[in-house]
Amino acid sequence: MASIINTSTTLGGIATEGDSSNELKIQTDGTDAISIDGSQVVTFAAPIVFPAGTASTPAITTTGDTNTGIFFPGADRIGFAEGGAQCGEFDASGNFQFNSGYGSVATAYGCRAWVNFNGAGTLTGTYSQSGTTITVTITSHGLSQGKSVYITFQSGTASAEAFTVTSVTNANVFVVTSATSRTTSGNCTLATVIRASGNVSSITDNGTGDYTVNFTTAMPDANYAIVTTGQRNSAGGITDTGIYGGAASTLTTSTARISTLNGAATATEDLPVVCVAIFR
Amino acid sequence: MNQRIIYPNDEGGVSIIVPAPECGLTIEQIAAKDVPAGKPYQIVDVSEIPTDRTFRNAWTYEE
Repeated sequence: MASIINTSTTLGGIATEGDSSNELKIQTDGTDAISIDGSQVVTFAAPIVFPAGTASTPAITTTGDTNTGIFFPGADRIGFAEGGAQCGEFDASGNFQFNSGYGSVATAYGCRAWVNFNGAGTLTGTYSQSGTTITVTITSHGLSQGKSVYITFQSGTASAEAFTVTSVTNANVFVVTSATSRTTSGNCTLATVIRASGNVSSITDNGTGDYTVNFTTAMPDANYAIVTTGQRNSAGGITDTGIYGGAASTLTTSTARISTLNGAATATEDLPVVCVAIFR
Repeated sequence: MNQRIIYPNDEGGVSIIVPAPECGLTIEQIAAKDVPAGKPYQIVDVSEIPTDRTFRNAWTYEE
């Protein structure tokens, strides 16, 4: 049976809708503030404001485990607590700090920058164009759909231009779409590409096997750990990579210069896959 | 990005900056940040960079 309590549109009150909807609503100033439907789903018309809480008594917690949850340790900060102790926090700068088992919330360590790029300048392969569809075969191209690439066609009649990868057939084949329809095929090269990265603005190619990783956001200091790996031209697998992080003087808060070497470590060598990760 | 930034390096050769597509910066912003202070530089199309790196260390920068 429907019932209405205090139906004034200018005052607060509680109202239940008809039997078919089974809704309960709480109004303030004539407007629904909280609605609870027949499935006990609660809808709030405005933000829910919690007390700040603490690590031992989080503002948002759960039944039976009230010392685990979310709290607000200060302005623009969101804290997370387990068992009454803080275990993580988004600080006022948007950085996520957490207890990893190797540090505290204040000193948590993590990967602060990383990149996977083609250090060989170009990758070579073959292509076949039918209509506007160009199918490119390049071993371990490392591309994904939507990536921007520049392809030079060394034989056949296709025109060198910038493309967006239409689709990736497999690790060695991808498809791009040309503005011009034609039928042709031949050899091609793919310009240097940064396959994927985080907190890296660019790679500087200084010469054969000599690269500088430029960070988008600088490190807190230059005492970070640099981890490198890669794939050699001839080895065909990730084996003896011969990459080193350079002398201490080449590691700064904003850049890390590395060299990639041949298998005997006697000379620098361009590698088609170079991976760098920075931990601090 | 299909552009590159080139500048003369301290070894007498030329350095080529390859922008990271996912960094959210423009080529001009990257140049301002990643070209060493005081170095002249040019923003060029990727097609202007040689594809044969056999003599990469012999490449030089020209104004």
